[in-house]
Amino acid sequence: MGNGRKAFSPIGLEERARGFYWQMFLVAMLWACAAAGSAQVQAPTLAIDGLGKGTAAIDGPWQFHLGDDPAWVSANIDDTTGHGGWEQITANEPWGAQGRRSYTGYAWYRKHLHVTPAPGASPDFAMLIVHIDDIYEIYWNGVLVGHNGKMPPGPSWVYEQGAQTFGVGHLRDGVLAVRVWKSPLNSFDSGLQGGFYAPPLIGSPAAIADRRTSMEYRWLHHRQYFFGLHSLYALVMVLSVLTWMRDRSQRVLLWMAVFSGAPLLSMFLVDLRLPLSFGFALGWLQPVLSINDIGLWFLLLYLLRLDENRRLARFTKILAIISLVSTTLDGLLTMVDWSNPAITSAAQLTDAVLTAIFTLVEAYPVVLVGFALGKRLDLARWLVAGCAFLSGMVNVTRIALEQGSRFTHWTIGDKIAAPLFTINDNPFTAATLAATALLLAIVYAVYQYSRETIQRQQAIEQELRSAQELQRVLVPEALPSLPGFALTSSYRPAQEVGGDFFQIIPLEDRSALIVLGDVSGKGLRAAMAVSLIVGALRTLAENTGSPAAILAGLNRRLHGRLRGGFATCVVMRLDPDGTCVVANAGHPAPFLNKQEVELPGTLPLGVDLDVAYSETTVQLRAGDYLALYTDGLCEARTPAGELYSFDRLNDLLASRPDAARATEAAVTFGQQDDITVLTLTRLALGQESRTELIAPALAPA
Amino acid sequence: MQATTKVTQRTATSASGSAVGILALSGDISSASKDAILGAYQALDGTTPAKVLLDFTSVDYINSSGIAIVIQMLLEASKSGSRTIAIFGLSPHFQKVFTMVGINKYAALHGNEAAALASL
Repeated sequence: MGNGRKAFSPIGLEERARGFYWQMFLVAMLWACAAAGSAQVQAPTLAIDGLGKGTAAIDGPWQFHLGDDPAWVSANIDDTTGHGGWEQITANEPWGAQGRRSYTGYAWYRKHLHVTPAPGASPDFAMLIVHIDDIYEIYWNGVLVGHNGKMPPGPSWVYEQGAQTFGVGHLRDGVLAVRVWKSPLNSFDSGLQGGFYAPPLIGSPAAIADRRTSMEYRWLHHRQYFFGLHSLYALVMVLSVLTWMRDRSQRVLLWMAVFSGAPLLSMFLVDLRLPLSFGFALGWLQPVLSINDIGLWFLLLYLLRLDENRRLARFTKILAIISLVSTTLDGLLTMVDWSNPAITSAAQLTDAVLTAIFTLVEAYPVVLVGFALGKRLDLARWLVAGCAFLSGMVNVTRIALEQGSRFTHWTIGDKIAAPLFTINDNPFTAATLAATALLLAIVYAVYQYSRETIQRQQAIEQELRSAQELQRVLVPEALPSLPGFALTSSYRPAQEVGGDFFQIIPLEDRSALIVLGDVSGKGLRAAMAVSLIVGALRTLAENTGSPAAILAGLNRRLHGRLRGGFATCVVMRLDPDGTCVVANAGHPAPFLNKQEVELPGTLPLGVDLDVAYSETTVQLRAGDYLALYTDGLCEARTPAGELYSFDRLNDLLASRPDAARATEAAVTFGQQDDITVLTLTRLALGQESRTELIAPALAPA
Repeated sequence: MQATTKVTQRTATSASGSAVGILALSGDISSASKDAILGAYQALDGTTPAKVLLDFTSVDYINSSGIAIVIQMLLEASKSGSRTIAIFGLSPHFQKVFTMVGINKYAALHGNEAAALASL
């Protein structure tokens, strides 16, 4: 398991520093030899006299036995040192640090006590356990007086908790027996754990409660910086999410939220002393740490401008999946009952393999920084690179050295994890300092990055506004009245500026040219092509009213200027008597009443100079309905990819919709491209001509 | 939403017994497909003879920029006069669009591979 952050401080010395609560008490160690010249030493009795309002540590040698036997609960067994496997150790530090390295499973501690209350003191006592690794039961003269966690099978215990207190009643003469179970070792365990971390304390219930409160206060006091740093993480996460919601194109903010949110989750799991089981807390911690790492990788990709390197970005994604899968599996493994001897070895081996993967990928920030070395970056980004390198090196060294330390006996990992200095009792380790520096550098760099992005966007928006103003000229905002026709039009660009165009140009002989077209592509480039077309069209229309001649002229002017693209275009001359002459360059044919006008297929404008355009004449009668449209109408697509298609279009146009209704049908279906629709209805003699135009407000006038 | 364009190359024999290079396109065809399509087409140079089939059976969508790429390829082949290109596998919608833009004057459109091979 990759969590090298858990470290219970053996605070026996601190606990033994007597405060003002301590009253006078006498510790007398009564030693007696069972027999002169024998190796066997009778268990000593700890006498605590005059115990009143203060507390006393149950320290000194304890009788200790590895293994488990229900008989050891009794006050009357022979636990003489050297007899039946009984030995002596202290409760000042774990058994792993007292010559029983890497022992896991059951063990018993026994202490013979003689307690004399101070005159007038409470007759009942309470006990405080600082920490016992992992699960324990406390017996006084064979009677259970307290326990923490659930013993195997199916063991469970809290990942990290404060001191535990128990009422132990009239405690006078007898034996305090503590049955302990230590879980099989994880990959990061040094083997120095197991059992007591500090001697238990006894005292009046009020004194024990005071003691516990003061320890909890100290715990909070020690973590002022930790909680301050995590408050900063929370603030950064909230600001990142809020800013990202305003501009979802800024993915760097999303990764910032991931990077700063993961430590908060981690804090809730293991640092707030919430009553979460060891399996649950450590199980979830693994993927959370992985998410933290992944957030950092993607931040580095963006901030160090490595996202342009597609292979590296792809590799990072693959590594992210590997990390997440390995930590999730490792997390699930933690939730399995390792106390079952049948699976202990397999679980430990799997843990070691999965943790090795996790540990290797921990070094990835260092690799990313290596890729950034050749780049020209500003100071903010170099700060990120430097801090990421430092943080990566500290973490990977510490975690790598902690892994398997029970075999190597290397203590460098522990030394790296140890505080470099303290300020106001708050420890500052290399990892803490590196994490703080990294967070501050990243916040500064993300701020710079977002500012640059916003400036770039503002420049683009300014360009777009200019283009929109240009397009206002190109798409008519008012249509001239055509004698003998009712006309509706609708224009709906897919982007802020589009590639569709239409023009109605009245000619001197009371006829009019109607031109509708579509430049391939969208956006600014298409809009610029449209401006070229409209300018050329207006010039050509001054000299000819022939649709085919106009198309030929446009084709000559556009050839070689559309960068491999083209423009489809239909030109129609409409005479007051209803005569309609049409020429087409690759555009959907006009729709007359129930069907398309038959036109020969012809190459669009701008692709080949040698194209001849032909003209087709149609005579429109009163009541005839003619619709012109761009392919955005028939190529509307649902999110699943289904096309609106010519079949639906034929049905739609056969119902003689006005331009607005036809456009709306395609937009509802799934607009992908600019849509322009123009409908003409031939009026009977005496009916008043009318026009209707629907176009978005393209830009303020 | 746009699916990446993939182009795979295979060979077949036409009804007249000559070798035919087939470029099978799949996904969406748009301006982003230019390198994939023209690259695959140019890779045919010197490897296959003068007959090429474009297979659109697995193509989901072709936008106007995609059509421009096809036209560009056909015009180049037509002007050099060295290669005969035919097309098959278009959906009825795109068969109509290809006819509309005059592609059928440069490459015959067929319903399926067998029909296309039979015509070459």
